[in-house]
Amino acid sequence: MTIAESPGAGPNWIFPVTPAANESVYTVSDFQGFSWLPVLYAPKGESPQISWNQSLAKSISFKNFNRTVIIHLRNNYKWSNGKPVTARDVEFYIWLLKAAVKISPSNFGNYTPGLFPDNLSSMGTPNNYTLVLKLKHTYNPNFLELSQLGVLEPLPTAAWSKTSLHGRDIPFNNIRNAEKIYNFLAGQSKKLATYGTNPLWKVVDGPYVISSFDPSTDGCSFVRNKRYTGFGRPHINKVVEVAFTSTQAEFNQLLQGKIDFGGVDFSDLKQVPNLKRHGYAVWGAPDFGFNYVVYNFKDGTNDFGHIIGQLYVRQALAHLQNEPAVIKSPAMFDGAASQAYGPVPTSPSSPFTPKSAAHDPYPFSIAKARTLLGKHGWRKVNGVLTCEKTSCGGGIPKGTKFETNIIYGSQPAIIGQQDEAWASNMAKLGIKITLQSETFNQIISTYSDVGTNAKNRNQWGMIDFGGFTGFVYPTMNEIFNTTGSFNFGGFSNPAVDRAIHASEYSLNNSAVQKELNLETQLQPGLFQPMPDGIAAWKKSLSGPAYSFAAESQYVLEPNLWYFKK
Amino acid sequence: MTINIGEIGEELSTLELAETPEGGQVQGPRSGWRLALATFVGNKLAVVGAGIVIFFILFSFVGPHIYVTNQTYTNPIAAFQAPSAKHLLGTDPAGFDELGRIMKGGQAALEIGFLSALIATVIGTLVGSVAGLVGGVVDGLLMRLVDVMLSIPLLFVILIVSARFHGTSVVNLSLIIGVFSWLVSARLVRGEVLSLRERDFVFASQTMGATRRHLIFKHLIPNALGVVIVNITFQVADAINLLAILGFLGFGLQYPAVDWGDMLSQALTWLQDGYWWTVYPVGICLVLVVMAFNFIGDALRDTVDVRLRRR
Repeated sequence: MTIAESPGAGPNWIFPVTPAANESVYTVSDFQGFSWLPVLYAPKGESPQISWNQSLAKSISFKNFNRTVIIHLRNNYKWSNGKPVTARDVEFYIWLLKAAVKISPSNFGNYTPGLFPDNLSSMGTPNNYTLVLKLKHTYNPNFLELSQLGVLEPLPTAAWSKTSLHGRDIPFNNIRNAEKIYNFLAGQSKKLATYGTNPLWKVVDGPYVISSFDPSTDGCSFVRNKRYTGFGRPHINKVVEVAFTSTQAEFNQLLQGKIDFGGVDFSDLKQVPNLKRHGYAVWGAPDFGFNYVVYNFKDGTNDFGHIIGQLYVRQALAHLQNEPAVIKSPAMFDGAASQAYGPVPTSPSSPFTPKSAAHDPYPFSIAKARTLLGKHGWRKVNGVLTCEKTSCGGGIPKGTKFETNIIYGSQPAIIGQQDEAWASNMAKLGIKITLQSETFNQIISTYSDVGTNAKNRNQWGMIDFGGFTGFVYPTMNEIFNTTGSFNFGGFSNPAVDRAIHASEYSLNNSAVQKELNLETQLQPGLFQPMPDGIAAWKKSLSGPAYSFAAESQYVLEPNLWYFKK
Repeated sequence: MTINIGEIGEELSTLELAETPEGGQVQGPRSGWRLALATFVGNKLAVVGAGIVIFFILFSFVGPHIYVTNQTYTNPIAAFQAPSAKHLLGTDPAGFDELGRIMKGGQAALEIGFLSALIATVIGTLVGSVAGLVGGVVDGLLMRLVDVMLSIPLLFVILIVSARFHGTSVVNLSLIIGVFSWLVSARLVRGEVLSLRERDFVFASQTMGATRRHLIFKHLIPNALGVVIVNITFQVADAINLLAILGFLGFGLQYPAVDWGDMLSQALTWLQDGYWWTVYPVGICLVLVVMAFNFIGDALRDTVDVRLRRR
């Protein structure tokens, strides 16, 4: 079967310890996820919860005030080389994580200093299918289970615990060896042209094994893992992920019936009846995540870092976004999105959804934005909004002009359209915005990490690559924490850090909701409407409903699909 | 017998009027420029081309003062409105008036077309003159440089440079296009200079101690101007085309500026939804302008080339 890749966002990292610069749902869920399975599998269809049937773990128990975690693995999973998937393979993964972050924190996208794997005091494998983790602190059990342990993934110790392709296995359970092994595997992962032939990547526990990869397009193909023993044994022998340069090119292929499963861009919504006539089913639902524009709080160009550091500025910018118009516009979402004001949307439902998700604290109002900025000394001078007071707060000197740039993802077009509409409203107040487009992969690999990478700091004021799909437990630890690995713009706020800390360590289950309310109020980025993830698939393609619903969460499960005769 | 001289004169003049000499009608002396103008005006396609260019200059630069529209602030709700009395060519995906947008895009096309052609011509003329006059190693090096650059696809180079330097303004894009479009000019001018440098007036000037700079600026370039002018028109057409391609591929001007390629690219996204007014008018404008400059270029070539000029 053929699956369309998202244009400009093809997978580009195969080794399941994924650096921040490569981490995307397209790489992790829709590429690595075909071959290597997590200990805890989420989502369950479109619902943000653990799908135990699809997980390698059959249960998890906590002891010693949640400081001891006991993971019980299923005993029916095997590697494609015939060896069983054991707790030792999970231990191997943890050692590689430790090595990766020791070499550089950016080597693991989901890393936050002090948290996993830094917070492990010891680990052990009392038997082949039990892993015991001892932690240094007590954590919120939801955070522990649904976020921290969500990254765990067994890796084939017997095939990968080495430092050269044809070398012998070496013990991985000391940091020096683990670093050598990590460097070797990460080095192999940088050789994209070898993905289809490298014997390392042929040892999998998932339903599919990679058979080809084209580094010039990121197109790839997978064949059925004939020795797959887990949940949902594949019926389809070959899965081809087809790369496209634009959503329009992809849609044309759908109309010609050359793609079995592919995304439907908002610009093609009017063509849905046409698609259905061509034998496709079309469905969509919102993702459990958020779309946002990232602010660069370290940007020295035109003193933008200081400007955006002011809460009143971020509030004014939020007032300048006309979400209802963007959602209603026939050229934009055409109704296929819902308003979103913070990191968690109102749908799909989750026990962690905060009250603030349903209330817009900064509704569209150019007048309110003008008043907020004017009160703090900003006036239009020669057409450009300029600080006319001795200080407009936060050390912004008199004469500072409010001008910056937005680098936005070139595909899908809706990203640029939203930013254009927003920039247009900003222009009404004299805020000068320069818009530049780049591909998704270029943006996340080039402009992330302003904290440690000084070169990045002054290149951009805002970036818009889309957004994040959250963990089941939606703390924004990695994104808005001062030390978060995906804190691309260097946002830092002690109150948010404390709220995130409470979400992680407090036993109070409403702590995460308080955190999300605070983030909604403080606007660390511009929260944008939550679109429906819409996909089309041939009506001859069938499978459990939840396996199709999972696409709205950017998870593909072709092993559960089959073609009707 | 007496001969009346007046009668003989009458007979001769009758003879002259009756038959046209083999070499054509003898006329009074005409200047080269008047002759060139007559040849140009005699070319119907050239006149049509000039008319179209003048129309688009007026349309793009004077039009917005007559047909006043908002081209700065988007209005998502007003997207894709069909042509009406309020919006003669409907609205685009951002809610901008399409006709006003075409005018604004036309400004960018003409500005970038002329500016980049000027940049390319200046560089090409200087390089060609120096190569042709100095000759030897300098000529060899410069022409090999031209060969190498001609062997690299222009679009490929410009795409890379545009991506690197974010060609988001008229000046940036003109520089990017101009700096990589001088190669043909250089070759043409060099060829002309190779011929001119053997002429007596150049020898005379050299004998009187003229420097190379003097020769280039006072004798060679002025005498090669015909070739240069012809080439400029083609350069303008090529630059407008290139801008459209860059815009189509997303490397053109960015909001609030706009170029025709960018408009076409956006419009194609919705082509199948029936919003024809966002595709065909701008496409027709692009074709007309490029075609017009090519007509003018062809006619100018005929005008400048004495072998093709009618007497």
